[in-house]
Amino acid sequence: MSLTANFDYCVQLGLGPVKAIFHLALKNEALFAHNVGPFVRTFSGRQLNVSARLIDDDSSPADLEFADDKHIRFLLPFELTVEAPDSPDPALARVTLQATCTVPGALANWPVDGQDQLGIDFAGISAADITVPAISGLPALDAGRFLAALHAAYLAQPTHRFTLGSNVLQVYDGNRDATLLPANAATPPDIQCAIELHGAIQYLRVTLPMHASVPAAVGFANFGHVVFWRPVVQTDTTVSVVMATEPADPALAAQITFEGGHPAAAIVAAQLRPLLLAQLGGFGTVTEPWFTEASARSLLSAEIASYAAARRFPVYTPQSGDPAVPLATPVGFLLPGVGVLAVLMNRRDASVADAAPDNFLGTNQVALAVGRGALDDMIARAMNEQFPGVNTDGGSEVSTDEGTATLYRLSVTPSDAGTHDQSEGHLWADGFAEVHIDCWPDPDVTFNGPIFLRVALTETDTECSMLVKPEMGEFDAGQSCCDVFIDILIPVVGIIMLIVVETMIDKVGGQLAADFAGQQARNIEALPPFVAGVAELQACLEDLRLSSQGMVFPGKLRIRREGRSFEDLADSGNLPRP
Amino acid sequence: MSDVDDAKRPPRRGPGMGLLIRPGLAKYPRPAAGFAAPPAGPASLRASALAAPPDLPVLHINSHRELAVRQKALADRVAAHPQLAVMLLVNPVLAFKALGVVLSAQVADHVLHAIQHPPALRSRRDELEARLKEALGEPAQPTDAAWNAHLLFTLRKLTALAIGDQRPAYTPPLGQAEAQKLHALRPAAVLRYPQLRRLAARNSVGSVAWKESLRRLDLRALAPKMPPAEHPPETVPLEDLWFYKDLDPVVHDALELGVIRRRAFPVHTPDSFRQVLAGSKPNAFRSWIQRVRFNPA
Repeated sequence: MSLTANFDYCVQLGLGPVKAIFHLALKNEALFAHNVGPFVRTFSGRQLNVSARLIDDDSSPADLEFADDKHIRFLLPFELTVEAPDSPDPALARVTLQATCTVPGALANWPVDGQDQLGIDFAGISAADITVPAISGLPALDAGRFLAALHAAYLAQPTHRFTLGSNVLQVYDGNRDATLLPANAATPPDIQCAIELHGAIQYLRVTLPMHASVPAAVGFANFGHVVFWRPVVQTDTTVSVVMATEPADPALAAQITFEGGHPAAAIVAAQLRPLLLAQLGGFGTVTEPWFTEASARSLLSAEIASYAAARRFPVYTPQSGDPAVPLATPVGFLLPGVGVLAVLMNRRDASVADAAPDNFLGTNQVALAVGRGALDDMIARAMNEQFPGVNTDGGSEVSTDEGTATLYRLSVTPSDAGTHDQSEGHLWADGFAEVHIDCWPDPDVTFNGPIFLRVALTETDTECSMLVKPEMGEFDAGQSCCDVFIDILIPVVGIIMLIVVETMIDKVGGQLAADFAGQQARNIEALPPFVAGVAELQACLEDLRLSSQGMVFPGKLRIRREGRSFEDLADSGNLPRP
Repeated sequence: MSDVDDAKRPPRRGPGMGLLIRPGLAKYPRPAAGFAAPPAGPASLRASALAAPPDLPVLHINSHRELAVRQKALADRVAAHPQLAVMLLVNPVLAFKALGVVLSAQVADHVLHAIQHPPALRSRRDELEARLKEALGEPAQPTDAAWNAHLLFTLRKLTALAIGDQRPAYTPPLGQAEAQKLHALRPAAVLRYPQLRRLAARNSVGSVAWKESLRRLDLRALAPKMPPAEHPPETVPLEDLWFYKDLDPVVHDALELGVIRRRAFPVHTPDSFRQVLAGSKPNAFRSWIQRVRFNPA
């Protein structure tokens, strides 16, 4: 078990808080633009407009999972909209692809105001790094997207009246050309389209209303329709129909029919056919955006990589408050198996490769730990301050009203539950003193025993106060005879606990109240209270666990959006009014 | 009275109730003398019975001179039986006896008194005892709460005070300079995050500085003025005597004497000694002290 690996301090955050920070980062438009584009992309030689939308809401939530010790796998719902700018009806031609894509992000450090912070960076990712598991919104081939184009192409034609000698041919699309006489009375009156499969080929079947006037044919003047077929050509990114070219299959040759049952109808149809076919070419080529699943996946991957590669967001942003004394760089490790983000600070041993600590978070939202080495250092420093000369040949003179002694040796060692016959983690005090007594050679006394660190927690909506109570083990409450012994050790251990907790908070970037001189309690912010630009945090330390590896302080975390939110305005009655 | 009120009322002793045990509500916990409580947690070697006293040739110490002359022999016996040596801190006379060293009554009395207090405190105790006996006409017994009531309300005719849950003042265990040196090891504050907070500040961490201990009762601090009680109590704990000390110098002396007596090195009775030796009674010294060794000159 290693609480802090080769570092002195470690902050562990659970998956829940990391997700909360991520969701708040997603709300930040400066970090994650929610709408980007449109930008122009060329597909199959045609320029199309593409715009992207990042989504994180109840119906399409973003999510994340820890991939390995340095990478988080983000699941980002994206919506990609492709439009043909020259489309007669962009709404009909628009393709909106939706997919929750998997995007890898790496733990990284970058400086802000001279202080290294820890966050997630998407730099360097390419389309190959993105996975697109499933796509919705793939276009279905239907006649509607062509019909709009045909309506537009009809209007774009300079004339709808064609003559050959005294014969006149008019083509209609409802009443789109009001100049035509006679007015449209064909049934149906509008151009109509349908997709039909002939053999293995999809064809667009077009029904075009018309009127023919052939005076030489017994005064022929009838409405009718021409029905013609054109193959639908699909590429990976577009679908098109070339209206000018009639299929070679005789069964798909244009068919001209007239209403009214005129005896010369067949002859007129045959004579008008060349004229009519020549005019169909006026509808040009209809091309619409179109994506196969593979091409859509490729498009999404490319656009998302392009979107994400320039993005990063902070997760842990400690500030030293003194540019001359920066804090250590926070080093992040992920523990994927247990869903823990570990932030290590103050590298203690640079001779070994940085390593992930073990999980000490358990079911808590947050936990802080101080490693054994740092703990030993702080204990030793305080003991040497209180008992100068201890652990040297000269020893330290201890004088009380009850008597005097020379304390030669004293160690206070963090110890595991199960050691020294103790069922809980404890500090094991071990010492040796010469006690000065009257009328007799001074005896040497060797002593040892456990010191327990009890915690009294007051936790309400407005208060989270943790009070550490050191207690000497195996002293029953009534043994006031030994108070002198307790008074020598326990007050020092109490202040050591303050030194340990406050130093840990100071080193991990928390904040300590300024006014504390001599006080046994201090207002604190156990963690950096802000994830810069993203979230405000508040950690409530609830307990203390002691072991031979050091000390762990598990707790709860409050997280809210940094700055003013909708909820703040609502609470204060300051929402904009109509 | 309603059933609810009956339920709230503490049970009263009555015929046929037998043994009545209730959680104690003592304002000032006292040593549970004579009650052997099992040690908490797993069975500990520390609480187990010590080896039976060895069968050693008896060494008689009948005078102070013999005590001095036999230092090395005594030290050797103590060194040879380290577990019994620890019992010297429970009752040195009985521990020596277990080691085959029999002290005469005079020497035993000297040893027991010598270890109780250092000379200065012993002298002050004698002075106070003499002064109080002269002032009161009877030996002072300030560690006896009933005698304290007798002192205050009968001998000194003081008005009883309504002390309630008030507690006396205590001095801290660490001196101001010592405490300052240690507190200086705590990190100083730097304003790191001046931003406006939306989450109201609510977190603090602290440690309990020390627990109240009679040995640190602050005899120099002025007691607060207390209102009179409706009735004088039948007993006045030593701690509550502190609230009367500024009303009468004799009470001040009695309080000081009581504190000195309660600070005396605890010498266990033979029965208690046997229980500690047998491991059936926990004892902090036996738990914490692993070895006692004399170094004769």
